[in-house]
Amino acid sequence: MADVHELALLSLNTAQQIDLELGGEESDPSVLRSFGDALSKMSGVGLPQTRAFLSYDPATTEIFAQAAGEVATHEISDIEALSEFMTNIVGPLIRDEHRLERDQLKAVKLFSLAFHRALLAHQLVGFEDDGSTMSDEFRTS
Amino acid sequence: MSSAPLEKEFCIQKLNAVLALINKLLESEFPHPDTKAALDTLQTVFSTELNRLTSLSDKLSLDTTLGYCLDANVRIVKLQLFLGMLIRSSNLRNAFEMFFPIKILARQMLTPDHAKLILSSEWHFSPFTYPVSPEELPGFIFIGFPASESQNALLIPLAAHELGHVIWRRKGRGVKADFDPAIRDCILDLYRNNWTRIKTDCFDGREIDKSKLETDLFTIGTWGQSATLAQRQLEEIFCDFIGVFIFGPSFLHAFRYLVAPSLGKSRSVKYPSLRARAKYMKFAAEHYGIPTSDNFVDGFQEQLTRLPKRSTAIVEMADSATEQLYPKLIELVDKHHGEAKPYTTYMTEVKNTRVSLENLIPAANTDSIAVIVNAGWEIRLALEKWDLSLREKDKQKIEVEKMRILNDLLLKSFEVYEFRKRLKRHAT
Repeated sequence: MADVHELALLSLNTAQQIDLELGGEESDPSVLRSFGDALSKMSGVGLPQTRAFLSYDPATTEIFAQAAGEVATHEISDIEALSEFMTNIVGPLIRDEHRLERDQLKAVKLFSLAFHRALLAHQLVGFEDDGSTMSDEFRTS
Repeated sequence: MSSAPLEKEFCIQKLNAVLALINKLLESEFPHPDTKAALDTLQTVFSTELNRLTSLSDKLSLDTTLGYCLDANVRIVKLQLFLGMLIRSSNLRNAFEMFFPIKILARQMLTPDHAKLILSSEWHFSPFTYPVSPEELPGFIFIGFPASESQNALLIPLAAHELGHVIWRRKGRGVKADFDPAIRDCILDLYRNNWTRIKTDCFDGREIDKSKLETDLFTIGTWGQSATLAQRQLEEIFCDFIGVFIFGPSFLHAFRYLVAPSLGKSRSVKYPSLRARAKYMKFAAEHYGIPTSDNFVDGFQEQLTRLPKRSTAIVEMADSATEQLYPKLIELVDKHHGEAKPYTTYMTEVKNTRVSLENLIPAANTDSIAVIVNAGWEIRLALEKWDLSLREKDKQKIEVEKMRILNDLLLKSFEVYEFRKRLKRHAT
């Protein structure tokens, strides 16, 4: 996985640029492109000859599933549905010379903020479960 | 669009408070430059975070602004742990003589860029602190010894375990990236081969087609937990193997001293059981031709973890994967130990060094910290045979005094080791 905080920040910057765009302010489209590229690299969505999420770390799949599950209007229960959802997010972002519609921008923004939360939550689990505390959800006594 | 929420104002205040703390800490004196370098880095990180938040446009939506606030909070939560370690690293309680030998070892095992060391004493009794260095502090290694043991030179081998974590997780060339696919495949095979049990215990009788094991998100969430646990367990074993490889028997003694029979808690499933872990260490020692005591494994006893049926199945699959895959870690140690030499290279020097220490002369003729500490352990394990002709008659007090003298000799030997290394560096 790429630097988590870097990716998390890119998610926020994407939401920021979309806010500016939707508010009629000047925005930087390269941020959205970078976000699309990063998502594509991390999930396999949009890459040639890749079956998205297959052969990937299950923890990565879990982060995407968590974020997608939070914003999708339908149930996402398998990789196929998750890939389809992510294609709808990533596709327009990485398509050359493509200007996103307002609805697309809103969808990307919702996902980017959910993705940011999922990434940070995942990152903190990594810190909390250090050997010093040995805390974990499985311990019962 | 909204005006700035109170949350943003509060986060700015919290970031300013952290920066004030860092600035105050930077006024202190530090025994080693690495601690100051870490504080400088954190000062930049938090200043950047503060600038980001203060320069946010008020035209942003509330949820986007709250996202930035969350980001600031997480940085504060995450890095506060490390600030604490940085403060404690400058405390006089630490044996500063141990810093340089560990730093040299880190440079040998990793690149110099990766070898900025923070050595501190901690207020929990565990040798295994912060295996994950934050991405905000790249190249820094955090090692903490329990406060009451932070002067104990015989525990220096445990530092190799911590360095093992850095090797496992380092970006690009880490062991984790190499080994995770094998763990994943092993877990998937185990789930397929135990499908009837998995369906009953994990999926509550829910009808799931075995062929959807890799595509159904619910099943991925289940075996993914087993894979994550197996990754953690194998990482711990890898780090133990690194310790055995570099420090030989002294690693086993140090681990046994600090942990055996257990520290009272029930087993954490992110670690192999203590007894299994001891068995794996013995396996590595035998592989490297290092002598071990016959009862090493028997010295560990641990409360088993009582779990619900689903969790039990998930943990057992992880344990089985660990049991299948641990022998492969030997190859990974061979591949990833860097310039650090195995204990067996220097094994024959231990006897002379022990004689020197027994005669109250610090070790001055070895290039290996492993030799010094192994000689120290040999004396410690046969303390009654070490004749120091002390005036004291009380047996208990004699033992305490001998251990104090031994520790002083070892720390002095570490200083001589540092002096020799520095001379050698300037000579070339």
